[in-house]
Amino acid sequence: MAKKATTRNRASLEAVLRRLNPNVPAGQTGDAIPRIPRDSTALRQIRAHLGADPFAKMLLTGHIGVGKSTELLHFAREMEANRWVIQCSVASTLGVHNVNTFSLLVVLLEASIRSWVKRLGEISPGLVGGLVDLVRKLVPEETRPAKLTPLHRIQKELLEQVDARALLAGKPTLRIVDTGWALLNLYDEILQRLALRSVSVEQAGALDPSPLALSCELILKELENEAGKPVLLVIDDLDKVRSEEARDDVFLNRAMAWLRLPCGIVSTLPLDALFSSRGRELDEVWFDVQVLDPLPVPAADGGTLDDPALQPYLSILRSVGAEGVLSALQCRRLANASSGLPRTFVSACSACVAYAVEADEVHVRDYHVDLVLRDIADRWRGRLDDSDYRALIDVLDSEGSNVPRAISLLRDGILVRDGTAPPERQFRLASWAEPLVEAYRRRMLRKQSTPS
Amino acid sequence: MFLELAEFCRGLLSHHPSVAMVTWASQPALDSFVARLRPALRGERTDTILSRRSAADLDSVTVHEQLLAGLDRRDGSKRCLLVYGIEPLAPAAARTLNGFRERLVSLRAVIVAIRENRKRDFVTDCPDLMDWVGTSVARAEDLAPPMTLRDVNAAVRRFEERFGITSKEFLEEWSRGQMEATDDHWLWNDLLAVRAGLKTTTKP
Repeated sequence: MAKKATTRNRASLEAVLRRLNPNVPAGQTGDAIPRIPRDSTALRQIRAHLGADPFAKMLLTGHIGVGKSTELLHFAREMEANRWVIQCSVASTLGVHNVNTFSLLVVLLEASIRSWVKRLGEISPGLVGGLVDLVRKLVPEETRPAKLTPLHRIQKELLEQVDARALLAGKPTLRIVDTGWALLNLYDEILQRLALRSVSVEQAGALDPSPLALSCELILKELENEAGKPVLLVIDDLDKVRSEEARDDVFLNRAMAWLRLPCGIVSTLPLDALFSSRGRELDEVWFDVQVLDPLPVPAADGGTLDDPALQPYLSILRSVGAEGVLSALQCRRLANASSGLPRTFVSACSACVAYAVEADEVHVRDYHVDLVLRDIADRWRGRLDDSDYRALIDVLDSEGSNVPRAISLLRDGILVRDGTAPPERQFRLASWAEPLVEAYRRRMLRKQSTPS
Repeated sequence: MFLELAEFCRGLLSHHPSVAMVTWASQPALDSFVARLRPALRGERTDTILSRRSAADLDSVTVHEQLLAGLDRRDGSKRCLLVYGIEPLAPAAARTLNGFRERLVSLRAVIVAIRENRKRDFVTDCPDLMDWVGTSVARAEDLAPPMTLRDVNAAVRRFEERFGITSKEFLEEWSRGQMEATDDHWLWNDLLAVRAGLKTTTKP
């Protein structure tokens, strides 16, 4: 009987472990953690602006793991009733590290064409012809150098596939790329070449994106007519753009290329962009920039079960049937360590349950939580050097004035920005970073007080 | 933190997508980990295929293509990709893996092995990937203690006795593709590579 009970306990713990998946946005699939409703000013504002203006262009930013993908997924599903929603994934196609305005427009164009052919059927031959003609203009004839660059070669090769076969068939006007599916394959080919860096990022970045922007405008206008509702592009992974040059190119210098598109756009933005030297320009260029704040953070100990700050985390555990596996106090400790970032919380809970499964326990023990908290701190220990500690202390002591010094630490979630906190406490350390910074301060004090 | 290879593999395969990091300080520890990983993964899920991508002989351009090729496999849902030898190209490899993070969904799991003194250079350029790693971090020295030359020789001898051929004959047939790609044959091949490495490092 004891053996059966143990087997049953392990099976139920493993079932909880499977559902506690931190790497899938909540609500994305039936197996994922259900989305917990969230009182977010950012999403309310985005909804309101897009409701008033279907062509509004909005940016959403926030810490890694704060829940941007979850909220955008939910938002996209909400908007399906009144908008033709196209979800564009840069990471799955081009690779975010390859992005610039030119390649981004290829992604948007490919996603638009794909959305049309998959959901509405074939595209009219006239529209296909117009879009193919614009491929020719990607690199205009008169600007082609004598020695072809990789992009020229690709363009020539792709278009020769069209013309050579047509000539062989004796029908110069017949094009192989004469259907929506063929056009989709053409742009998939271009994207694949860009992803493989057959054309370097620098070369692609130097190209004029106008033909692509025109192609996007053309198809989006026709798509709106065909679908009978305005188009909304949802772009989830531009917050992963790490290159400052690419970020400025896409969101500032050549942003007009996609700001002028006849559709609504909601895109993510790297959080550190707001605090960069050109951060203020974002408000001037874009309609609105919203920040998704972290969840409230409960104190590590004390407090009651009714603590409002604890409720979102308890809800997450209840939604996966883990309320008997982790206690409220354990939930509180892990929520505090997560600094309000849902992914960090779910990842920590998952690690605790994994420890319990390995130890053949019926539920998570306190020492499992201790181990996980130590693992979280250990993971970052090698990441921080003395210059990072100095930058963190500078930000905290200046009450947030010197954030540009610690931009990468903000991006990585070591420094957390909470827009709901009073201005002088908007920037705080991630909970696991506090003892590390304290240890650094003590080390510096000892050094100063040691006679040379 | 994982202290056993079987536990590490269980944690790695417990959800999807899954990314883990293994740091190492000594080359024998890394070699031992690489050699033992395949049977350990298959012990957890028998249909898991281990793909290895060593970036040791690549430059910052080709590492990008090689990593992308590793991500685009038809049977990706059964594949665990091990990326190692990326120390000279840590920032470039980090940016590529970070930029293609969502493509990792096509694979069963990804493991990145990096020397401890290059870990910071790697994690600084892939914060989104590290968010998926979470606490799935281990040390090769903990997971698979380094094998001595004596251990490896003993293991190789057991294979020779079991299959009735010498290691030289095995390698000839293996390199000609005449050997079936079973777990045992892969392990034999890995052990011979480890032995060659140990002999090189222990030469006076």
